[in-house]
Amino acid sequence: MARYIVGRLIQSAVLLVLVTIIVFGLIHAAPGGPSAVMADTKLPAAQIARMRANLGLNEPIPIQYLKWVEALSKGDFGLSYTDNRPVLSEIRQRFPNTLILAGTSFVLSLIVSIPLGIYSANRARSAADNIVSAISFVGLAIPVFWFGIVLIIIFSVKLHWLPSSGMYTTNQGSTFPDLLKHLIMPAIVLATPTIAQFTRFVRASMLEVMSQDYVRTARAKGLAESRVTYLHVLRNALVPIITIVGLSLPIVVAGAAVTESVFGWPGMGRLAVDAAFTRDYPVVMGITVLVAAFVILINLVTDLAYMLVDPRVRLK
Amino acid sequence: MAETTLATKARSSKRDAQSPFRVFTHRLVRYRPGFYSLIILVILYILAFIGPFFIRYSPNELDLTNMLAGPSIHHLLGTDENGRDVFARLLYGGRVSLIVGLIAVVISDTIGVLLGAVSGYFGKATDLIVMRFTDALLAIPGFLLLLVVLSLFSPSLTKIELAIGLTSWMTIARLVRGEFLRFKDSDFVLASKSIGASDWRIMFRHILPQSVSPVIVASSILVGVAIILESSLSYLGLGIQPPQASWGNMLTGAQNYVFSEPMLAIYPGLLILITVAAFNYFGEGLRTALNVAE
Repeated sequence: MARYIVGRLIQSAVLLVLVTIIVFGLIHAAPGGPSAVMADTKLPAAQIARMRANLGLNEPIPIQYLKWVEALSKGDFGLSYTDNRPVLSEIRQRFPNTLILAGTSFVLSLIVSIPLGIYSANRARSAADNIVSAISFVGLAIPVFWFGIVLIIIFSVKLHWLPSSGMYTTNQGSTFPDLLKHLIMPAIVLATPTIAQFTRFVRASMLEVMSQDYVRTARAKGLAESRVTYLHVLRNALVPIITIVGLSLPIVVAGAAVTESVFGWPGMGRLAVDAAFTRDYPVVMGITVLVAAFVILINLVTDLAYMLVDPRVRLK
Repeated sequence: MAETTLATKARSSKRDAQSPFRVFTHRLVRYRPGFYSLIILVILYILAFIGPFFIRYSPNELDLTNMLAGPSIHHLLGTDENGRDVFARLLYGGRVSLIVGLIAVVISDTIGVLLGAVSGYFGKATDLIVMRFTDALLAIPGFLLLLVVLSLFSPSLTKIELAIGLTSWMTIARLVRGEFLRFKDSDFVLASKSIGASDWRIMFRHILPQSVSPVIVASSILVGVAIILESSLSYLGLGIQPPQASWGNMLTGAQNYVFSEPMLAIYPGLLILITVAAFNYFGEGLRTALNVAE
């Protein structure tokens, strides 16, 4: 078991190094490299010269890469092109907002999808199951930004129930009820694709467990159907849910970038989009490397958690 | 390709109802949501690529005396904030979305099949390197990867197709690798080796046709994903640039008029939703027809 953990740790470290190489490589694969991008932005020549020196753009590429990684490991993600502030402090400022939004929508996804998945697995191939599966198909196909706009049309424009953008009402301080009102629509929008995905996953997982011998045994010895479902099937069917946390992260990240832009939510996703728009690539690079590191970490944690929960994995 | 061999087989044994091609078409038609989706997709492609020849408005023609007009005989779905015909823009925008999805997936499939095949067939160090590289790319959320790529170039149709294609081949590569691992030690491969077939011949003439089904199914789903990506980018202003219409960037303009003209924002999104759902359902149909496990 210790060997597995160590192996998995090394694997994660290798992945992280590869990620930095890919991101660095992408930037330098651009015609002319980063300096071409800088020449394209409307910065004064003196500033470009200073940045070239700061970035060490006159040195060989491998040396540049090593210096960049060394700086990264010290938490130095460079300076933003647009306002010259340290990239890391910009990210740190936006991160809690994204965490609130993504966290809420993640909890919402679980609360909706687990009961829905159980319900449709219990009635597999019935009309109700078909409806749930049709809805989850729509949920996977719906463009996040459009769904956001539709909700704004209904709840802000027509009904005047909810605010259409921002995190707090301006000039009104930062109160929790106010935050909640601003949070409802973006959280629902961001949760939609994951609800669809999780529901399909829970349903499939339930159905797989239901076909196991021990479930038939439980039924054969006369246990009530609800007891079989909730005590015997559900416990095992929910174990694979751990995996999906890691698997759904990329969807959540893409969704957050778009959702935050639609609703003017001051989070990391919107920062990345704005930065891509102004070609502020130190910010885009910084967010990309950090999020990738986060994804690798979550996948490592979920793998280890899986091992603790499911002894069969340990034996392999 | 597999289709042609199956088709010849179907012809040569007309009385045999169980020929693979017949079974395939029969199953494809029998899965109703998938079959209707195919019909919807055919209609959408015909509308987008042939429809514009039959309407009298160009999508970029400004009519500043006739802005934000409601539906009428002249403008079927009214006009947008610049007096452009919404129906014409939806058709031209459809061309962009429908073509980007297909081309991006052709690029993804090419890269994914090549890397997956090489990785699965040769194994050892090749496999290790290719798969670690694939894993690393998978760890970077695709959308951020796209933002990195697009922050380096000024966007155009070709660049967006390339960017989406180059950032979404990883699932295909893993799929193909798995299939190659499954077949590389089978008897037919051993037989080909024993009569001196080259590695490339074994890979692409013998193993690949066996593993083409899951790739077809996954590709259908990927087209939908690519269309969502393109429209999201265009909506954010990082994709197709106005005045060229795309379903995504039509929403950017429409968002400013949700108070007075909410329908302007409804049409393009509804078309994206229908197209993507149709590709997903068609993919499910292909899955049952080709007997591919989920």
